[in-house]
Amino acid sequence: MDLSSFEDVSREEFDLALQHSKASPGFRKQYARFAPHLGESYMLHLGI
Amino acid sequence: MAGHFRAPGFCTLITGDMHVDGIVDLQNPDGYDEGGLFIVLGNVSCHAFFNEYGKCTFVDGNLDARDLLVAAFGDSALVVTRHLSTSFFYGEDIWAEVGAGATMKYGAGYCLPFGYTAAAAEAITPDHDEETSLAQLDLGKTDDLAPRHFREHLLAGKRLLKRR
Repeated sequence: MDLSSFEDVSREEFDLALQHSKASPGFRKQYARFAPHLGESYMLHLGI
Repeated sequence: MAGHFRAPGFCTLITGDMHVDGIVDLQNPDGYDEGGLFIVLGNVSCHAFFNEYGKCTFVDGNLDARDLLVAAFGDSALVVTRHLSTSFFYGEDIWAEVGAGATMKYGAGYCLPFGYTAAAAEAITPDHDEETSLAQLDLGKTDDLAPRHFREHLLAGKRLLKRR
């Protein structure tokens, strides 16, 4: 993994990437259950 | 990835597998206190894995922290949708939730399966009890342990477990 390939994105872009990802149903269920609090800085690494 | 990995953002999303030779350290970047989010949509393998205080961490796959996994950060959560494996699990009071079981040789703490209803009965514990496990550590101390003791020890290039 190349750290330089992380992209600084907005909250909306972060949410969209997660929404359109191939995350498993199990993950989505747990993520909804925990409903994690988000912050100010969002980093994204796509397509490894 | 060679070397260590430190979370680059307060909230980090990685799509795909993550293989790190050294330590995966989710300590927040400078300027941030505790909290945050870390998601890997894939398998994670590394030498050692550290969560962060108040951070929600999700691995949508297997998590294999070969030598050490430290989950004992207050107000944090660690969720692994498939299997968790490590040689030493340190999760005092902070469990990990797993979708497909866990394998831990030594440790202090436990994992719980998704959907647990009776934590005490369903807890997945290390192969060896806490006393035996802590006696294996080559940290120079076994009481009042904190995650930073493990981190500092490993970053100094020291061995985690005593030689047999």
